[in-house]
Amino acid sequence: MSSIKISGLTKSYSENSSSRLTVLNNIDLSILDGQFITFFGPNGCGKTTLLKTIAGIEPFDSGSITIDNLNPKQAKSGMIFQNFKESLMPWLTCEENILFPFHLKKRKNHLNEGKARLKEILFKLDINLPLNHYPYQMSGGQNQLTAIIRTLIYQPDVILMDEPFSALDYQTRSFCQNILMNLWMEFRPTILFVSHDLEEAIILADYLVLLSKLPAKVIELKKITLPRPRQSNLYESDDFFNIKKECLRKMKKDIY
Amino acid sequence: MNKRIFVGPVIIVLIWYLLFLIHFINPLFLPAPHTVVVSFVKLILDYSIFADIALSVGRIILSFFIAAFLGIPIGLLLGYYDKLYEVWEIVIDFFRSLPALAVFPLLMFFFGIGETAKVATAVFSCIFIIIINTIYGVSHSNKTLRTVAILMEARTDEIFKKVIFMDSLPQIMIGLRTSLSLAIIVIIVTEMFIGTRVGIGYKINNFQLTYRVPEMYSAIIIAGMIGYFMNKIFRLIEKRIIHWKE
Repeated sequence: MSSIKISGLTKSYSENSSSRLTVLNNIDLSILDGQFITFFGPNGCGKTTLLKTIAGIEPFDSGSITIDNLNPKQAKSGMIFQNFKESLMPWLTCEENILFPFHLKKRKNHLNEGKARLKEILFKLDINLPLNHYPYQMSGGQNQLTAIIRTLIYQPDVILMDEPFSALDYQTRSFCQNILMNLWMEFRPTILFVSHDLEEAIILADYLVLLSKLPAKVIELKKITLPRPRQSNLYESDDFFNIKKECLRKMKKDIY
Repeated sequence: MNKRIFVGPVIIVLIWYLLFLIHFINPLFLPAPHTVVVSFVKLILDYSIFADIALSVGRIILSFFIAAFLGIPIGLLLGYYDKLYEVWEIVIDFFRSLPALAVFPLLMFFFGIGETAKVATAVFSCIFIIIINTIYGVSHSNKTLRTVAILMEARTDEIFKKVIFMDSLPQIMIGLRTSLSLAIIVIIVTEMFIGTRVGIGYKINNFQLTYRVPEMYSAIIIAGMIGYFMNKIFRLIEKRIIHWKE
């Protein structure tokens, strides 16, 4: 079984020549393959920095991260960003964007595999994407789904999602959350999902990581035992309400 | 076709007529529009003007392509390697601030007074605009897209070709469009004053020196039309290349 192990992860930025700002403070986490982990914490607490260090695009000061016993730079990560307008190539159609990983030398010989996989994903999730449209011709939700499928299609070891739905309106966000949950149930990728919306963080997660305000440290790793598949009516359930109340209580001094 | 685009030119002609009728400007300097139309038709029917047009357009295209051929790769290189740009920044800023016609005497030393000097002057005026715009396009290309490509294990040359270059294309096209307009201006001006007997700029100057004022206006209109249609054609090509813009 592959896994992600983070131990003693510390990261700081230099503020000026004499002082440094610590962003991540001694983070320890152990994530199993196929788990859906969400991170919730106050704005600016270092959630995005944490994802970037796991992706291997941001160096860290001390500690270690291993993904399938590889360091983050060697491991295969996929990242989905908050700003969907920035993360798709505007000169490519929806389909070309999704198949972009298969137009790279590394996977060029597997283009047909990619096309078949795209068909399979769309069929299994029962979604209709305008494959011939350019990003500017699609809605925000369609753009973000395109980015998600593009990441899923090349089967990274871990999918890192940085508040991917926060720029979407309520309805589109609920729609995309449902698709993401279906996608995860169907394909079981390991997902690390950052959110500043506690309800979203609870409804999606296997485990919810509560992070403190800067410098971020893990307040609690909470197992979410709500049954799957999860529908939006779960928001009204007592179980959901209790989890939310407990999380808010634990984070009281970091939020208020 | 949108009829509104003709309203502006019609208003200009009407004002011109009005100025002519009230003798606001000496008719020797501003003849009646219909006189210019007659001379314009005569000029067109005398096919020799087409040789002038062809040569001017040829010089413009040649200088534009040389500038683009040199400027784009230089811009890509300097945009990608910011340390290299720092080395050349002052040189580029200095030369791009220099009016091309100011260095024309220098270029005459090197290239004589023939075709090469005219084209070199236009290339000089265009190339820095192309370089600067290309540098800007590359250095401001979308960092998120680069990260996406890195995470997909794209090679450096693939990131450059498939992401950075494509993302900087709109800005490169802005540089090319601006430099095309400049190439038109510089070529016509150099034709007016420097060693040639063919070219629309030469014709304008020659008609002025010989007081053939209606013909001079006709040649000016032709020069304007050359610029207008070259820009139009460029826009069409640009729209095909940058097809993803709303």
